[in-house]
Amino acid sequence: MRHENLGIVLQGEGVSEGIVLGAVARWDRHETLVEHVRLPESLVNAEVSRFYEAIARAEREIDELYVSLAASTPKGSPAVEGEHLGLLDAHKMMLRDPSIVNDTERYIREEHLNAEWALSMTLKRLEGMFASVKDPFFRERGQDIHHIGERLMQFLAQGDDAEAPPSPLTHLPQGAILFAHSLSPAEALAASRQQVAAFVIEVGSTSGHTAIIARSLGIPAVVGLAGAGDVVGDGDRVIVDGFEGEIVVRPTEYEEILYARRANRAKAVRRAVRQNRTLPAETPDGFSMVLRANLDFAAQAPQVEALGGRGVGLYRTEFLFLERTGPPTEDEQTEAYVSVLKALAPHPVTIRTLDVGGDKMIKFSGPEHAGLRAIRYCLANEDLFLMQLRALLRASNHGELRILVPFIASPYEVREVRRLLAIASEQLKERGIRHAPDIPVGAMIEVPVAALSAQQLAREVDFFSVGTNDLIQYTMAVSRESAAPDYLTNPLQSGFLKLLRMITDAGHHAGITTAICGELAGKPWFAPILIALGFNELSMTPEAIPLVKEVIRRTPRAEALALLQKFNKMDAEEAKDYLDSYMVEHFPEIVTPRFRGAPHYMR
Amino acid sequence: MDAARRELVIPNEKGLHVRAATALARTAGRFASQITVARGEERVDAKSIMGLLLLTASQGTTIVVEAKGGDATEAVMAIGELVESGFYE
Repeated sequence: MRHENLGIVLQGEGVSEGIVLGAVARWDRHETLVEHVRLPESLVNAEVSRFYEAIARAEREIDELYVSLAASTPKGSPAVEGEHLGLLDAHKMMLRDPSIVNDTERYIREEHLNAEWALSMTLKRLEGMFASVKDPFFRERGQDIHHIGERLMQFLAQGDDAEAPPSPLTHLPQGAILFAHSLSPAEALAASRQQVAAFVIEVGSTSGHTAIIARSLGIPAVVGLAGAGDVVGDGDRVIVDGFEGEIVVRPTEYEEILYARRANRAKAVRRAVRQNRTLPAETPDGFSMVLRANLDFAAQAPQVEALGGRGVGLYRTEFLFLERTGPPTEDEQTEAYVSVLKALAPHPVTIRTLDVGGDKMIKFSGPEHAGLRAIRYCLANEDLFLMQLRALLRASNHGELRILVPFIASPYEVREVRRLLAIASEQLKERGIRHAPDIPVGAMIEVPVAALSAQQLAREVDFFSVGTNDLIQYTMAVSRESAAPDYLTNPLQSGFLKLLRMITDAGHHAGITTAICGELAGKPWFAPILIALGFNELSMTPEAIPLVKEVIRRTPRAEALALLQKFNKMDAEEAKDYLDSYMVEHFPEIVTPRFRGAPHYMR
Repeated sequence: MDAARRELVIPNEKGLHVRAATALARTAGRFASQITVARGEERVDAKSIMGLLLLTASQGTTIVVEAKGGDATEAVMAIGELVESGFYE
């Protein structure tokens, strides 16, 4: 796996944010050799005492660690601090767990095994039990047994007279990147106290203790890099990107430059979050946009405001319908809609009506509707759709609701939705339930014909919201399932830009809000195009808000328009290169360079 | 000899995970009685964190706590309180 000219890029899971470049300190665990001895009767009692002595020493070690950790951890993060102190506490209790102590003692007394042998049999049995657990959250705890067992073995091996075996990880060079197959909580803590710059762990997951400790101390960490041990050597230079979950082993000069840019980007994100949170998304020449979030759960609401977003531009309702054998009740839906409206009040929440069919099938739909998606499916299943509309109307009393209808192809569909909304309203009135008046109804523009008919559609709806992912796929005739080559998904195709322009022109002409809620809305590099096209609202994953806002606040609309003008004379690939270099020139700290596949302009 | 039994539902989001299991085992450890926790057919020693973890009781799981011994009633009551409080999380 060695390359002359390239560093080795490994993809794991980023469990603690941050990016660093440094030298690896490799921590290899040496399995203690287990002796297998049958003891004479006369030594059995002494062997049992030796076992308990080892436990007592391991307990003392944890106590000392506990005290020094409590003293060295800065105050102010009590919850997190408690989290890893809690893990130590658990480990200490596990040392005397009946499932470990009783069996081990029994093996010594009845089978006359030496303590190491008895303990290793006990641990193997327990680890086996954990390995067969289905739930990964619990299965992971098998690691704890392994770590405890190992430490006990080390104390047993040490014999009577010696001090505690040298605590692992006491002599790390400062600022090292710790590389290990796995780490016990004690090891992770010991490492963090020596100011390691990052953790790279072959096994593990987001809920593992290294991840918890790394996050609480703000140390970047990447885990789940199976096989990394074969390519990472002690002293190797390594880039660790805890945002993207990537490491680059022995990076080239070029990759180190990319690293520096990624590191700057990380700083830029933090700065943008801090500085732009309360500022408007407005260009220097006064063109104002509204940034909203795409949300799946009401629980994500606090994040929206913390990142400087205002309200929700796309709340998907499919989760209520998928993975169940019957539709959710009206009450159940109302409750879900109310909770997201309340959480975001006073800002508007755009709730998208059911978008199933295609690749998202619900289990209770009949075969006769198998080919229909989104609004087509809903119009073929009026009762189901009416139930959702009633729930939405009922929820409208609790916040600023907007209804977004997906997959609109024809003004007829909008009129049908309005007709059904009137029926739903009547049905509620009969039950004595009132709802907010004049709830805006919007069309999601993701079918090319809807863009082409935007002028007619604009007369029927209160707002547009462009779903760019589907729009580009249907325009370019590529399927969602298979990966398409880059040139087919390049949004700078002149025909695609023309469609976007038709949508915004029609929207502006009719005086309705034109929004965009597809993936492109959250791409900082595409923001100048959206500014030029004159979108009023961008809705994106909450994490994308700070950087998109940063680009908007630094890109005069006049300049964005000039940029778009230039694209008229270029083909899509030239336009992409041009936009890339524009972004690198104006926002070097924002563009994420890829370690693999250098962008055109750097080739 | 005293005996007590109580059915409980795990209320907290993370279920009977490490911290909750540690708290339960510690509470059980304060009593002399023999205490078990069962989930369906599976029954483990309430004083064993490992055993409790192996129950893999997530949120909403019903568990049965049984105790035998001089302080069985108090033990079951204390464990019941702990579980119902959501392990004070």
